[in-house]
Amino acid sequence: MGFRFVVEPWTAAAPKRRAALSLCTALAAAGVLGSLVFALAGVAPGAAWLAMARGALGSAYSLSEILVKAAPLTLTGLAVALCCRINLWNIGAEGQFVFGAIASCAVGLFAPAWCPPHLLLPLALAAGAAGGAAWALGPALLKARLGVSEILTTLLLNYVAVLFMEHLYFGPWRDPEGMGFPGTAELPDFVWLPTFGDTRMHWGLPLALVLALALWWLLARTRWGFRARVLGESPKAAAYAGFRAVRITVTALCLSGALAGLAGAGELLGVQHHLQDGLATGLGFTGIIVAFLARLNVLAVPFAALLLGGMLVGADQLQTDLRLPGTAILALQAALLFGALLGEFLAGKRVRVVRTGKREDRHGA
Amino acid sequence: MRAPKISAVLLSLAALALFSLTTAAQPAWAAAKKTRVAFVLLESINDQGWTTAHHDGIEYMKKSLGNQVEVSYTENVLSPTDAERVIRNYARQGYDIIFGTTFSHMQPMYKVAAEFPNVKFMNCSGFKTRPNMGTYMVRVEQGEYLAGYMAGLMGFKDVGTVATQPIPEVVRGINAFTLGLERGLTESKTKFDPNKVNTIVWLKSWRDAVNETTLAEVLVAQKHDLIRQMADTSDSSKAACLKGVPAVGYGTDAAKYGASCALTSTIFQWGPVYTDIVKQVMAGTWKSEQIFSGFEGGGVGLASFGKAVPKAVAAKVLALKAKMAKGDDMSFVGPIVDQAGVERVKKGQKLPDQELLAMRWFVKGVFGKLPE
Repeated sequence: MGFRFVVEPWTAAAPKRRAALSLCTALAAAGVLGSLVFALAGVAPGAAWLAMARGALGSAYSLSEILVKAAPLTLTGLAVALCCRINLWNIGAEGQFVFGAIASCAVGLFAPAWCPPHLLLPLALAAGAAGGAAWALGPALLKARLGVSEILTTLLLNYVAVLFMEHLYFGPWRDPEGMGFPGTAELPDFVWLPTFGDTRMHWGLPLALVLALALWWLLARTRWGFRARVLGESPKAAAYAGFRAVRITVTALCLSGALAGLAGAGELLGVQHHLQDGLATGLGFTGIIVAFLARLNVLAVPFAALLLGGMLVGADQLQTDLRLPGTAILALQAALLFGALLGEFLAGKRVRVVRTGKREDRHGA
Repeated sequence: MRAPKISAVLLSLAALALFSLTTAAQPAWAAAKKTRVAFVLLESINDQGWTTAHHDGIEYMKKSLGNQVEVSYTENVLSPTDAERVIRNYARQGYDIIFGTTFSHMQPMYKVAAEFPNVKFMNCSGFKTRPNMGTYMVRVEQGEYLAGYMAGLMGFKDVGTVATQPIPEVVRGINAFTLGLERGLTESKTKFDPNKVNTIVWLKSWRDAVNETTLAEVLVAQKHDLIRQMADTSDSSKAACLKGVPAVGYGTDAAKYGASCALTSTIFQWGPVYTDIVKQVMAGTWKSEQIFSGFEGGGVGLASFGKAVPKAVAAKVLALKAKMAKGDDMSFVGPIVDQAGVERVKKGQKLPDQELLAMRWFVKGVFGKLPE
């Protein structure tokens, strides 16, 4: 006679309980795996976590830097979460981020002189959103019309976007005053996103928060949101109800692309002010972790973005104080994503111990 | 009666410990404040290329300056957004000098340098300066010229180059290699096609695990007799070795990373550069300047020659190297003609540094276009 564990679906679990369980599992798994990474690197895990906390929360400056990181991460997190809520996988936030930056850069560089300067910033932001949406349009149409996997198309277009951006700043958009180095000229300051005080925090963050609220409203309170959710849960039911699947799919993916594009525009107009090497360093991909940590709840996305931002800022300290390699933070991010997925898996299930000696188990009831 | 005794002993011990600690600390503290040096690195220190070369330089500087310096570095700083935070953090912590090791650290450093006038900043491969911010770069063209000269003396007349990104550093490297190659071919009385001694294919990246190998193999298939690696890793050299064609490495010693057929490698030696700059900071003589270090300052080097290089060739190359180390830089002395046949440098004249730093044209003999 022995025992075995049975993992079975647990539909009766209350949503709040599931959310709490999922989040706790995610953080606990990240904590354990992260500690393991630290220990393997030869550092006391406690000291490492403390150093990270000090790096992230130690000063008003570091706190402001977390918010600088949280702005694009909130937007890319929203982009991924929106699609996943309706069972679409947008792995292309990175490419849409890049295309948003390219489009807003074009406004900054080539706006005609007669255009009033105070119109240029809103125009550049709108161009960023449009650029991101445009980069998502191809995969959206392929998915909606021909059933081509959006996972593959959005993923592969990331690389195309980065190559295209490099072509621009190595070639036609290269700063003529730049001594032959890659990168565009600095954008005129009237397209810069205003910052708060002496910090680098810019208006991208409040914008992202407003958009998170708007997205919640769209999904939870509008007819479009309802139809989209039905389509995600059951395409057959949506078809039976006469919902226009093609239109909903295309709109959702483009909206998602627009959010990621805004993230790119914000990073360009708010922080970097040049299109240059190092603009695309994975904020779009990190958005996937943000979205899953938030359990695809758009209102939780900003909090998940803050946590990730804090990790990224705090990780500086791991290198300077403890001489850990710069790649340690990548392992931590992976631990967090793994934890989030594990938490999500376990939250919808329950584990039961079954005695294998029982008759009904052996023969099946 | 025993308890007070023990506590008294403990107390006196503690006092003694405290006393010895303070006295021990006092002389070190008073003797010399350590100079605090920080580096912002592009990639990981074991990338076998650009950042490894800088890390080697940091280790060299630490060894030569010993405990007079306190050194910290941050890896994987690709994004200018992150660079600004990392640089500002070091400045806020009161580091005496902060090094940015790549072009994309220039803009953020330029911004932070304005906020911290008492901190010194040095950026590698850039051009913006402030009273407290200078630049440093090595004269890649000197090493390239010698590597080309060696290849020419050995009779290689149809070199295939796996080039990286079309920026001035790479362009003048290709040009210098070609000029050296033509000189070597002329001296060894080898006949060559004056329009095509060095064929360029572009990787359009600093490193690309797949294409470095693929492009090298394509060049070998096109019957090029020597593969010139310019990428960060030695993969294109290794691919050449596997196909039985010799190679020349770039940045770090390719033979050390598995390319046994490498005839030599041109090497960036940041160590002497870093040591000199930090010494100036310690002595209080540092001033903002644009350092450009060649064989004379120890900024570039040639890896030891491979077995296939004849002794006579090695001797000739080393003789030229000794001349360069004495300040006689012949890498860009005219007459130099560009691809279109226009004379760019007159006979006996030398191309000025400002033009080298912004170079965007190929010399005659380079086969391939500069992407626009």
